Amino acid sequence: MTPLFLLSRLKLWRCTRVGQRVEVLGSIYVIGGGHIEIGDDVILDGRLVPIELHAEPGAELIIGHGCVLEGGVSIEAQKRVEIGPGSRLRAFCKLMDNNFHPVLGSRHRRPPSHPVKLEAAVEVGERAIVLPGAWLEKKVTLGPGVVIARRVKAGATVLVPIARSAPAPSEVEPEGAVNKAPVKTRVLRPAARTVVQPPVVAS
Amino acid sequence: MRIALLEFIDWLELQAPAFKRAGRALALARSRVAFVGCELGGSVLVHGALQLERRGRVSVGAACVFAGGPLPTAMRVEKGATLEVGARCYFNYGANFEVKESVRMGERCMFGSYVRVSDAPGAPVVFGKDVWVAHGAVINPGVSIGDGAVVSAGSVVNTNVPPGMLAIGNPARMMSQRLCTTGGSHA
Repeated sequence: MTPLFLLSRLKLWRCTRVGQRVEVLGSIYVIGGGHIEIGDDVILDGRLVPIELHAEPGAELIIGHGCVLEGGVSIEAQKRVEIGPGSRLRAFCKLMDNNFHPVLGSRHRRPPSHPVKLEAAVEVGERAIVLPGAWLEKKVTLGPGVVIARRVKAGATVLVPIARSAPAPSEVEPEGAVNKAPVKTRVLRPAARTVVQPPVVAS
Repeated sequence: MRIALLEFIDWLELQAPAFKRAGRALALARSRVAFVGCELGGSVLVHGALQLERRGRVSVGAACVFAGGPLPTAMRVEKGATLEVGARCYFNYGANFEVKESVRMGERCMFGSYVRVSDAPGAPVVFGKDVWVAHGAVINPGVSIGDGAVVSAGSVVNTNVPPGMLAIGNPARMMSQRLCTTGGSHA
């Protein structure tokens, strides 16, 4: 066993089971005291920003064989989060099986957890958020910035709508400006004319 | 090294309640150091790293909590600007506040991890009471968020959010919180 794998095992001292040839680059933040299982050949690349693995006591967090997790990835398990083999989680994406606060009623009461399941070879884009109850079947791809909380059929690609340009707010013409063209004083909020669409699912 | 220390403290706190009490005392002491020169209420807890770049006025209400985590919470208050935090507010790790003129928060506001709030000269940001801003949301300058409103995870808010509404999407659109059931609420 090379020093890199030994150091990786040391960094993962709070995990319940760590597979063979697991590489931890940079730092990783493992908290909670729950059951955390990491499969063989997993790469945890926390060089940019630390990776967070959080499993509460009694919860299960399972990372399958050959997964790659990039910097800033945060996984929070209150009940069960499962990541299938060969999946790739890109930078700053977030997986959680609990909302931690209910929208209605007392915000201090923790709502029930809904397990999150990612099947084999799923790719989660940068800054994407996988919310409680999400079930991504085989080879699903989530684009950057997608927020999802439902089941997605195998092989589908989920993308957010393409960014559209909005008119910029008008600026006050400075005194003594050379340009004497009439200035339009119409003020428009950048988002006022943007049509909002729900996330597009393209299979 | 900082992460390893945080992990160890978390492990200690799970072992015995006495360590949890010690952790709380440490967080209390850390708040006194982190907010030197600020108007600070009682029982403010800073559990992790906090980067405060203070050139203006900072006021933090009583019993606020700043959680620890992989990234520090960052607050940057420019000269002449005001950051007012109400009592019993909660800040998760990695939240980022850039104050150029004024950011005001009411009581019991909650800010999730990686939330980003910024204002601009002439465009202050105001949060009412009991506002919940979920993970990764972005609050743009000039926005006013009403009492009890919720900003959903990953939303980008450009317009005012009325009290008791749920802002969701990029750019955020408003919907009633009543449409969300407890089981399917994904803020």
